[in-house]
Amino acid sequence: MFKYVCKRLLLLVPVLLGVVTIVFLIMRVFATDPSENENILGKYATEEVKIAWKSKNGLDKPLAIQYVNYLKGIFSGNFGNSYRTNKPVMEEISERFPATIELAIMAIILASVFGVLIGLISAVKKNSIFDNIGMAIALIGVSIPIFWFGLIIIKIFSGWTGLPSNGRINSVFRPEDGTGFYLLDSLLQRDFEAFWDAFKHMILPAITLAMYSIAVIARMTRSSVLETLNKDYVRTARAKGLKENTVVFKHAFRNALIPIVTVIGLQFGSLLAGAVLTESVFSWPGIGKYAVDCIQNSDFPVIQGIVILTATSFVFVNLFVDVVYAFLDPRIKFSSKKGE
Amino acid sequence: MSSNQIFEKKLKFRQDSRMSDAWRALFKNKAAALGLIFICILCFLSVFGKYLMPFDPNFTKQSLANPALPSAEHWLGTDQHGRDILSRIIDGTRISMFVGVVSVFFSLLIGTVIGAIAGFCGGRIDAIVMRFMDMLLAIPSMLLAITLMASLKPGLDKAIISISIVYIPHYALIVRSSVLSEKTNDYAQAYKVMGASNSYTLLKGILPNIISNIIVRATLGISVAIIDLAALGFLGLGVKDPQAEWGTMVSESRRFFEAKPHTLFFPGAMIMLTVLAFNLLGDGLRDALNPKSKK
Amino acid sequence: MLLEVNGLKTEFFTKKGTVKAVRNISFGLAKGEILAIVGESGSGKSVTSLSVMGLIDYPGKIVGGEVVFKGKNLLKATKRELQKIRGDQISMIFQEPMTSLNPVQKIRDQLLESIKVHMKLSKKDALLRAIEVLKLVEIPSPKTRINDYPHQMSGGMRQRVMIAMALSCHPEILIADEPTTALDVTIQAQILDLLYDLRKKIGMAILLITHDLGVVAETADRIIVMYCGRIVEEALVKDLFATPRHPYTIGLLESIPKLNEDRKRLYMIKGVVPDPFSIPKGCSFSDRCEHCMEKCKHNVPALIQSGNQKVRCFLYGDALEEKNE
Repeated sequence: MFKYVCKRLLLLVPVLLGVVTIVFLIMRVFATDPSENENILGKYATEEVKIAWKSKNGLDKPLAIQYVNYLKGIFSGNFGNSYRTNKPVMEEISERFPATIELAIMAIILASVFGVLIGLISAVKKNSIFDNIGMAIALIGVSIPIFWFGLIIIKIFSGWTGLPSNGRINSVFRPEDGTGFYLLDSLLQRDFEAFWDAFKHMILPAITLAMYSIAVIARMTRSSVLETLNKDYVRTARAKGLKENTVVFKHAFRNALIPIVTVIGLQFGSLLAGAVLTESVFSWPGIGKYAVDCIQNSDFPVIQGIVILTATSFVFVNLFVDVVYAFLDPRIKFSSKKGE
Repeated sequence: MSSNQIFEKKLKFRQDSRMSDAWRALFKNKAAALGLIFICILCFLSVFGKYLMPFDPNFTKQSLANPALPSAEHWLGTDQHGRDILSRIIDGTRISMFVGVVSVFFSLLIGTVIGAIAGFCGGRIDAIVMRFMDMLLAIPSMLLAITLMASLKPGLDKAIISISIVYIPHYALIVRSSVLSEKTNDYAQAYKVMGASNSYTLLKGILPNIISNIIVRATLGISVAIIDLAALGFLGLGVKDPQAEWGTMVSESRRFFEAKPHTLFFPGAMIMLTVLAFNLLGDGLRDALNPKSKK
Repeated sequence: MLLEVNGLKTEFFTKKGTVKAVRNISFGLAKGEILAIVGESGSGKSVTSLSVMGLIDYPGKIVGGEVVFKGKNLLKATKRELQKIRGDQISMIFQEPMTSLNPVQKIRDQLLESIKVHMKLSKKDALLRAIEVLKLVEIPSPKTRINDYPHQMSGGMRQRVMIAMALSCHPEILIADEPTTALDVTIQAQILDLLYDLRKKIGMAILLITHDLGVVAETADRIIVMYCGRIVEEALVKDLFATPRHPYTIGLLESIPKLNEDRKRLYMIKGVVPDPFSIPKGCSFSDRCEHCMEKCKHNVPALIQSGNQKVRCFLYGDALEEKNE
């Protein structure tokens, strides 16, 4: 097991190196010269200013040298400085990353619970009114543009429920230094008013972000459970005289979990990406909204950092999912081969 | 008639009857038929929309400084520049359908070639190509798309390029795994035994058998491409103003959202209906083409 | 009679139409008896066994008849009552040992599950009982194998585990649906011997469903031959093999290869089992029968007594089946 994880970790290195390279190439080869961007050097910067700025940021060197320098930096944890603020990229990102992760975790919990619930009910009560409603919700969930959905639920719910639709927390409650996870920080500091406020801020964005994943997980759960319900071992379980609930949960659902967990893992990636839109709608101060700001300002080092960090989290979540497999499916043995 | 010809004719017949079975199954599925009808309407609007629009989609009425509510003149109201929303939605249909179809075409074409080669050749080529696809897949799709858009700068052609690139690995993986499983099938082996060349086996023997899976994925892919284009537009990275595009329309009307929600509602609803139609059709096609999935 | 099936009718309502899988079947099963139901695939023998267990799923439905077990009609029993009987007094094993065990549960948990539901035993006693039944079905070193997952066992072993599971609560009837079909020939014999021995040891009745007359010859006491959802012949094993009556039974016996006969080619029943949507109007076997008469094509013969056995054929009498299908 330990050996398998190490092996997988080792295999991640070339993938992540590839991600770094791809992002570097996109940003440095295809993109227009950042020194031309008005937001960085102003509208009236002279040629000399531009050249000086380029050499300061190492952009005057040949591409290969830039690449090597960038890699060297990454291995020492240095992703360069933001073009706009001149602060180190890691610092800029780590201020905002907890906000995104907190939202994504909340959303994946929502998505897993409701997705699995809807899918399970739809499968067990196949062709019933519950099934039809559940699958209609799922179909709309995969079809609705989440930014539009976010704006619509602000319009509908924010008014009469008084749920906030802007930012993470009321500034008076903002926890001073801590993990950056406001829910966690406020609990640790026993500031329950702050916790409640942070929680309220999270409801609408989390629902928005989770909507697509709920739909995908529900559809997967339904088809997966329907398949296992037809398996011979479920018939065996019924022939044993088990109660229908036991048959469904212990036998059908337990076996259906394996593909469901895969989908949940993959959804985490789409949540990180969906955060770009959700955070823009709800002014959520995470890396998604920040990435959009940086793109409009050609702040390439930060974008590179964000993409690399997101890809890394995604890849690790998938590794974690593969390890969870072992507990769900005894047939999987961790041989030295890559489990595909 | 040689026995070979008879065999091919029988095969042809079987494929034909399979296709007509699939059509019948598709039309029996009311949801899928509804999706198909809506898509036909969208296609019609894309081509003949400019003759149906009540107004020039880019005609600005200075007298209307604020978005106007729906009225007899402007059925869906106007936006903040006094432009007729109905006309702009119709105009946007063309862009969304075009980007959806063309970007799926490109990523499908490139992805299929890559996946087919990787799956068929196997060995080192397969390993290298698939590792590269893994790298692209490690970056969440929306993030890759906006990164590409950011460096390419907004524009219709750039949007198509970005969205195509993002989904190449998805098609490559599907095609590769189908080719791998079909390659070991008896009929593919039979082609080999008969002495067919590799490319002949691939084109005549394997591709026709995985085509139904590809069609389904492509249909669902169009819906994803359309929603991605809208998302790019919403983030201000899509096609350039003043070209009407649904996502951009939603984004522009955010400011007036509190007072005039209709400016935002109609374009967003149009995105949803379009995506829904493609999803319905895609699901229906999957059920129709793959008898196993019928429950 | 321990179990009595009277006029059982099971139909499947598919999109293409209604399939009458079991058409008015009656038989009894005595205590400690091994009764075999023989037929080709599609003859309705498996559906019969599933109907007895109440395990017919949508789109299938039992539309008539009764299944009386110890004086109680199981078709009228509530879900709860059925669950109490299943796995306890009547248990069942299936054709595919490879897929009939839950792949993500240890053998131990799957065995304990039915013991816990049906027997009021302490945890320790339940485990002891589980090991005991594994010993009963001759699994070597049951104390360690009980912690295996199904995928760590061979097909024959898994079928033994299935039998152990079925026996764990002292059932009075064991329904074995093609228990040996998916197994190697040598293993088949072992499993059949095991079933035969167990019957003697425990004294339970066995309903053996199979398509293989060879399996029946050595194991069963009595045989029912089914064709297209009807019983065509019913007899003691020795009578059936000595004097088969129905042309279908004769054909089946003729097509078994025999060692001591020097024949060039095996006998073959002409034609194939009819499509379930176009079963002949009269005798179901009429279109394949060598002795087919005009009336066979239009009328269904009744199951009549002929000597020691029962047969459904106009060659042995003119009685017609009542029209209540």
